Amino acid sequence: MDTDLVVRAQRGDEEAFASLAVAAGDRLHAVAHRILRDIELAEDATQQALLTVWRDLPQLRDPARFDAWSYRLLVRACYAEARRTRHWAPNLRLLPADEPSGTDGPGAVVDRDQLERGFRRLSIDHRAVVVLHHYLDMPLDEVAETLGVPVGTVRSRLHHAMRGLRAALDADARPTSREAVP
Amino acid sequence: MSTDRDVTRIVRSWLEEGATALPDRVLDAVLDQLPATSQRRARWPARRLNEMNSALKLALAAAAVVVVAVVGINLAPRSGDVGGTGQSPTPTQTPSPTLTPTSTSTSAPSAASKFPQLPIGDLVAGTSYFINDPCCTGPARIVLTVPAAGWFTVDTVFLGKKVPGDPDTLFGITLGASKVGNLWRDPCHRDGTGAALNPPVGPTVDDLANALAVQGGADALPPTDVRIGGYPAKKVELSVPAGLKTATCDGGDFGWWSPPDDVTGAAPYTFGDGQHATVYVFEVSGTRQVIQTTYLPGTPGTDLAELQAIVDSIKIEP
Repeated sequence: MDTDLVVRAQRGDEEAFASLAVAAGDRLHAVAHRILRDIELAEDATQQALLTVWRDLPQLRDPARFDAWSYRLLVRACYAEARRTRHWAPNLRLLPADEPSGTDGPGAVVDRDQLERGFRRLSIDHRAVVVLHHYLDMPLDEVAETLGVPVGTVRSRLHHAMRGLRAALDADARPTSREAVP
Repeated sequence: MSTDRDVTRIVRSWLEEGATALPDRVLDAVLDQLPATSQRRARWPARRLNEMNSALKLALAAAAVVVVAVVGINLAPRSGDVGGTGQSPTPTQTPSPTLTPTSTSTSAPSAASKFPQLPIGDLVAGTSYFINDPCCTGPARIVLTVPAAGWFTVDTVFLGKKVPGDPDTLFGITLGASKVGNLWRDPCHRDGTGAALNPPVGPTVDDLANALAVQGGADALPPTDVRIGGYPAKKVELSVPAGLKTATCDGGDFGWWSPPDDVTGAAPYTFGDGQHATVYVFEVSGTRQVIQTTYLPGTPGTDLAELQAIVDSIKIEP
């Protein structure tokens, strides 16, 4: 991130902020979409996060921390969006962009469906840790700093989230008890 | 059965899919709102401290200490009640359907376990396993026997069985081990500050059992004295309130407590509306331990009997 752009935007330079928003918009939107699993909610969360970035930018003490700081504002916006629209949790519709490609086998289709279900059972806290760590490749200490929580909490959230996702992946192969009992 | 490495690889691959580009219309909407959105000015320009000389920094720091001390003396609680006066949970005494209530095992704690650790996958009828995992147990091993086919695990700390005819619901009934850090004021509404009990639930068996029984936003019956695995325990019957859609709760889940190391966690897992939980709270070698069973409305009596048989089979190896 160009820290000069950040400093100029902090001083109210709208052109500088526009450049920042263009540069940061895609990655923020990608993260929001992966946390919320809904394209419209992700767009709303990203829009809100960018406006908050603009509003609070003068309070950012270290311009070099812009990326991590913007992720924190984005995760907060995702919380707000999830709370505002309650329909997100049980919505299991697969988005066009998430549909499997023709080269995948049936196992991959099942994995996607199970992951989608499992991921939607996770809280936004847990989703954010999974996305920041496994999508952005952020080290856990950086995830902790971004979210403003202790590293131990991040570890714990990641542990529980991955357990939940593993449970979802393994669920489809299980027979019902009626089928299992002879 | 997926290994940890498999799951990580699959999750990473799955996360790579999906939208990345922010539509121009969203960006335009942001930029259109800038003139009407005032920036919140900091009280000092960014990086201002870096430009100060050391003497000025020290003087400012000293002044800040004086201000904090004066404010602190004036605002400090007079009675020493550190932690504030958290609200008491609202008592709810709505009876709920209960699993056969008593654990009758009186077996004495045994020596080192001869049994295998609870595996991930299908469990073998008539086989005994032990549960021991730092996430959810103290040093004790919880030994239990699976009475019939159809029980399986997706984790090493709880086992369960599917809802007959409902392949989409992961578990209809479960039994697992937990460590409890704190309770939520309302298990459905866990977001935001003040959502957890403050002061937190106390460290004893009675502290937890009594707090569960009066937890707001959930139905509960008063604690009763039972034995589990040969140890005296408090048993509390809990239910997700009738009519509550758990998908509308924060995070889409209803959770009575958070683990000690995760202040935002929600446990035990909720697998459907109206889920019932029976919580056994006891102490082994000075460590508080919880074993909980859950079942969904409509669970067949045969499955509930199997669940009770597992509870009755429990032995604790300290």
